[in-house]
Amino acid sequence: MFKVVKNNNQKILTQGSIDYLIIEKWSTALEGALTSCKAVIIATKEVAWFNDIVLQLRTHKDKNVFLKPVFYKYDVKSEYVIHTDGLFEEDLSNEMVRTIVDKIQNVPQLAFEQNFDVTTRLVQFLFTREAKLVPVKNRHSKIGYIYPFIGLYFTNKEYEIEKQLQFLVNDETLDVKLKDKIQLCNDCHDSYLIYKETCPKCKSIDLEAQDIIHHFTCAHVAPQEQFMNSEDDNLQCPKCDKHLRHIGIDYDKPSSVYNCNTCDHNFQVSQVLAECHSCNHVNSLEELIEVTIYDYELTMKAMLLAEGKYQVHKTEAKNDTLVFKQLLDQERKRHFAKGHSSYLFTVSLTGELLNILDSNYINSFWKDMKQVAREYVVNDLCYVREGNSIRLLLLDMLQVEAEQLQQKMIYNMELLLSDNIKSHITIENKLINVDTL
Amino acid sequence: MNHLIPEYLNYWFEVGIWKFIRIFWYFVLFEFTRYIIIDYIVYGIFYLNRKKRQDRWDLAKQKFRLENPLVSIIIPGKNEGKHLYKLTKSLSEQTYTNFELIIVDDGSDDDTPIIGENLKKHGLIDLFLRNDQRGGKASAANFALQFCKGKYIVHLDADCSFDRDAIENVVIPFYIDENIGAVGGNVKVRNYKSSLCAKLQAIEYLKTVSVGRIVTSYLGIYKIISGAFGAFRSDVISSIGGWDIGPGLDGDITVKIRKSGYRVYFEPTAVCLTNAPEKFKVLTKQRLRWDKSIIRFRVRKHKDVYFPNANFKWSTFFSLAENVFYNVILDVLWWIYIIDICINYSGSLQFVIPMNITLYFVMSYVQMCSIYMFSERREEEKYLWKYVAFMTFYTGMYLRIVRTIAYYKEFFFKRSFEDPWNPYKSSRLAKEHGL
Repeated sequence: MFKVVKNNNQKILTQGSIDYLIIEKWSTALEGALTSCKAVIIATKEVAWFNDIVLQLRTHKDKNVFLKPVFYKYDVKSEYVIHTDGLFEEDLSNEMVRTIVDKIQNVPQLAFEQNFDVTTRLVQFLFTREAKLVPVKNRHSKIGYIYPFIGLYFTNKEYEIEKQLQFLVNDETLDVKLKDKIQLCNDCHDSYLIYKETCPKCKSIDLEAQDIIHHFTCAHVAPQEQFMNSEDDNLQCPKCDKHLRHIGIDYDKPSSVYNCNTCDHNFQVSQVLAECHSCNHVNSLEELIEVTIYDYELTMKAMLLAEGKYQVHKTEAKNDTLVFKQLLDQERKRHFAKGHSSYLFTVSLTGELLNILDSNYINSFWKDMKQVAREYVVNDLCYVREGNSIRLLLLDMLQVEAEQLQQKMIYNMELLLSDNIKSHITIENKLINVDTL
Repeated sequence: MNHLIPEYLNYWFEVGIWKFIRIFWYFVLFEFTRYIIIDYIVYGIFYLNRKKRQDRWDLAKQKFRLENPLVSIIIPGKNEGKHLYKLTKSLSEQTYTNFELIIVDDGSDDDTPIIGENLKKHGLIDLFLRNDQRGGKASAANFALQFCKGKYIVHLDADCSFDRDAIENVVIPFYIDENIGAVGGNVKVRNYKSSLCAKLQAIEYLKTVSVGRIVTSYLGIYKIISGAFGAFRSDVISSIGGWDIGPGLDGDITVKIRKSGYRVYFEPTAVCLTNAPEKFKVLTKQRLRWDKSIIRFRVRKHKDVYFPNANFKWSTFFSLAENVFYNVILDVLWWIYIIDICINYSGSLQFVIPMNITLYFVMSYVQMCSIYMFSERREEEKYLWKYVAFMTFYTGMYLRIVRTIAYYKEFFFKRSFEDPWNPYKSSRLAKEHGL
């Protein structure tokens, strides 16, 4: 059972305990009703209006609006339907709304709230849906794929989406599954490319390919044309006049050659060029930008984080610290060969700039740093990050070796910090023999 | 033992001239006359004509520079990728720059295609051709011919490097005499310090390639343009249909050019350095292959040059006859000589053998003097002098035995057609057609 209530030109559909706001055209006057309703039904047949409503809802600054379940009544054949929760179907939609609304309400404090950027919105959106982000093929998109939700924030700049998502992958918020690899024009980042075989000398497309024939008996090698007997269709060697009757016995075709009808250049490997259909830029294959398209899914860590069931620390994991301490104790008790010992190497970053820098950047920096550190430590257990410092346990080595590693690490850290921020951040480091602890 | 040395010395004085000739007939009649007397006579003529030759060279060089012809350099080979970069560097240093560089990859199964394409991309070579199926060196060279645009074609081996003026000097002789159809370059050993085997080959190359070919070229009987470095007139090479199936295709094409009525010339100042085998095992394999080709081409395929016919030419006749005589016939005679000595002088072998060794030892050094006189790298080659002593055993014994085996195998069993150097598919047909 449901009823439609018309109030101040706003239609509200109540079904069960759920109020659906029915929108035919976007208006700022809807804002009040939007917060009070649990879901939205788009009821227009105009594609432009439909798109506008979806855009306004999903890019709304209020999280209670952009996360709201959105359904549509008429199949308007718009590519924006992927940003909605589907066609309105009475029972099914009710169930879906309850699940989504529960998820939104059950999140006590969305973990990424303080840094409310696009990627954070995406994580919240995915958490309240099926936790999956599956790009869909679309010929109107510049990269040939459109992304649910996040795609609305990057209209005509789809190329940027993968970069943004990569941050979340690096941060272990998203898992990926390879879907496709695409090439984009170097100039305008469009995927609509026309591939052409061209002459490497003059770039002409007027090419002719011919098989090369090798006559075994006399070692004559030439294009097939030279072996063609003009009187009949038989092959005859121009060098020794013998008839070539049987491929593999008398002759073979070891390769083929192209002849350019424009500049008369002969070559075996044509140059493949990719002409962009949008901007006419002619790309060499090396120039093309390759983008990998993935299907994304929220990681368990991100799900727990979003539900507040995972304690967020600036360290990577508290358990890691405990294991590290145990290892350190063990090393202190250990007997070493003469001159050998284990060393605790601490590196810290200090500077006010660290508080201002984007968290993605900092995380990415430490991620890279961990990669560098992995080359010097026995395993991941000998590495621990605490805020803006890391501690490494360098096992069983000479002091000289430890000092060399110390220098290498510092050198690599300096390389990782880009030039413009290097001067505002200080790297402090300390190398201690575990016996002296 | 102590009395042997005085007796040996005494034997020298007591033997007398006629008995000396009787005992050492092989040395006196063939080796001494051919490799000492003729070499020194030619050097004498060279020395006397040096001014005239220089004027002729300068004039040819002037004509060549004025015309500035395009030269096509072709390098066919299999799995030669590792040498290509060095080769292009060596060629980029050339004083003559109007050349196109064409590399043919004959079905390599290593990284050669990648290296070749890369070099082409970077503009270090003009054309990189590849046959996916190996066809043999001749087919690869003929494939390159299809794309040559130059007036002259220079054929090189990929593992060679060249003096800065080598390309220029190998083409200039075409302007000395318009009847010259092909010019051979001077091939020397680059790795002569690496092993005794390489050192001995370095001396051998100096004797047989550098000096030997100056002499034969002067006498008009020069018969082999090394595959490592040779230049050809484009029209001439097209008219003879390019290279035929090897092994030994370099000697074969030289004969074909001679038979077509053109002169073949050796240019000692066009110097190319190549790596010689460093081990005797590898060298033996190489020489067996080379020596078989004398029987295959000089004795069988081109036997028509020995008989009177419409194309008969004395110079071609002598060129091949000299080659066959000094290699094949003298090889058989050497064994006859050994038997003769063993039977007729069995009681004096303790003197005859050391005397023979002494003769060849002295002859090697006398020959080395002629090399020194002809050489343009005298200082560097001084290093080899102390190893000349080993040449008696190297050329007198080792090479002779290898040669005998090769001739036997080729003469009775035509083994060159089974050599994996050339693919079986074409060797089989070449054997069938007697090519």
